[in-house]
Amino acid sequence: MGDLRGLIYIPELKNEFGIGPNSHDGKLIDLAVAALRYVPDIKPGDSIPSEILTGEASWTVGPKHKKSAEQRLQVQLLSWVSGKEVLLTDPKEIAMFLEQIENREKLRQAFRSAAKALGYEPENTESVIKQLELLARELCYIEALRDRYAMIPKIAEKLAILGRSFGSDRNAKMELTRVQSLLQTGMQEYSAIFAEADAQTGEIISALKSIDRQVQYIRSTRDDLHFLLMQWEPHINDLWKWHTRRVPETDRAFSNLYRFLAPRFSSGRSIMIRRADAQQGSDAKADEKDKAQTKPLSNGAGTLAQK
Amino acid sequence: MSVDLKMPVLIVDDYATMLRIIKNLLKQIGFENVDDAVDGGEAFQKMKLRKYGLVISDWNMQPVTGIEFLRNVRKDPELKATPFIMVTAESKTDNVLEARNAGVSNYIVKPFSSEILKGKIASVLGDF
Repeated sequence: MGDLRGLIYIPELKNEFGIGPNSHDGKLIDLAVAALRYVPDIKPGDSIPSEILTGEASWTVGPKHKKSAEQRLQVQLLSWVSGKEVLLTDPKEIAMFLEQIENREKLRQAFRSAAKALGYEPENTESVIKQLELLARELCYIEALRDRYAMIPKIAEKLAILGRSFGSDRNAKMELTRVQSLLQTGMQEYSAIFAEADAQTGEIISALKSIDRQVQYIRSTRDDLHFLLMQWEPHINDLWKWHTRRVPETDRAFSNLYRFLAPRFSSGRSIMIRRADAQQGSDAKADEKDKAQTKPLSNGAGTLAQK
Repeated sequence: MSVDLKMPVLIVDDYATMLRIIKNLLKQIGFENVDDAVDGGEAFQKMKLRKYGLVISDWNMQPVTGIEFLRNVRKDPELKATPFIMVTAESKTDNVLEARNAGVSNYIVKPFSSEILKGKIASVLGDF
């Protein structure tokens, strides 16, 4: 509608137009609503996201993330064969670790041991490699998401730098502290999902033995993380707007960030928990609670955010 | 039967991250009183000192495995009635039978969500 944006409550839309739940239009609307979990918008003529049709991601990853996923699994294999947990998370550190000569030899041995553990002949490392590749093909999406999420702590860095320019402005510092606290809560949400995914897929031999189950779990986690990321994206894209002191562009980015964080994290309830509650029909109550707890920010010259 | 969410729960896993994950999942469900142990031996000692309403243990641990820990619990007259859920990364029939024969209340296969965990707990303790 030009520059205007409208919000339509789907059940009311259906009611107003007499669209029954089992009608063709009703099913189409439900499909569009379901698709919005995976894509930021739906336009006439768009394809149904493959997440709905086959479970595969409707977005692609590059070779860098495919390699990162494979290497992460190789480190898990090394951990398994040595009996000692190798705690590396940074892709560069993982690559360097695998490049070490003694680890390359250990990895060859690990493939033979894994073949035996999986019921193959020890020389049949090819089967192990194929299964690892299958798992890596799913996990590479998690790696790509991990990479993108790594931009969010940069917002926290920008806030800290901005804070140094506030001098003795107590109001501004209080607002900043509130936003920083909300940001930490938001960051804890997705960090917990990554930690859970890493832990639940961390036992490599068991993962290879139950690949179908692992794939289902990884895809579900991928979709949760992607859904969350879609909400963070505008603020990641706004990173360049954060200057070291308050200028109108930075104020707008600050205000937008607060408007994003406050309704989602001020009551300590994460986006995913709110979504689960909404699916159980308690969203109206959650919104009331959040509205009551969201306070407007002000910059002295006026109110930046209001609820 | 209504489940007392304040009852002490013992979780056992030699993988520290997994202990944190399960604790968080239990917290999401509503259980706040959660203790942990890193192997079956330590867990058994804790059970002798405190009455737990539920034990959730990993299968794959050393030196005392989850299944050995379960057998020890079921042999002890004071502890044998404790509800016990085994967490395993494999759903092989042999493993299921072995756990059942050892007296497991239920088992969960990794990876699992809080909904699955809640369902398994409800099947053992009752709906909540």
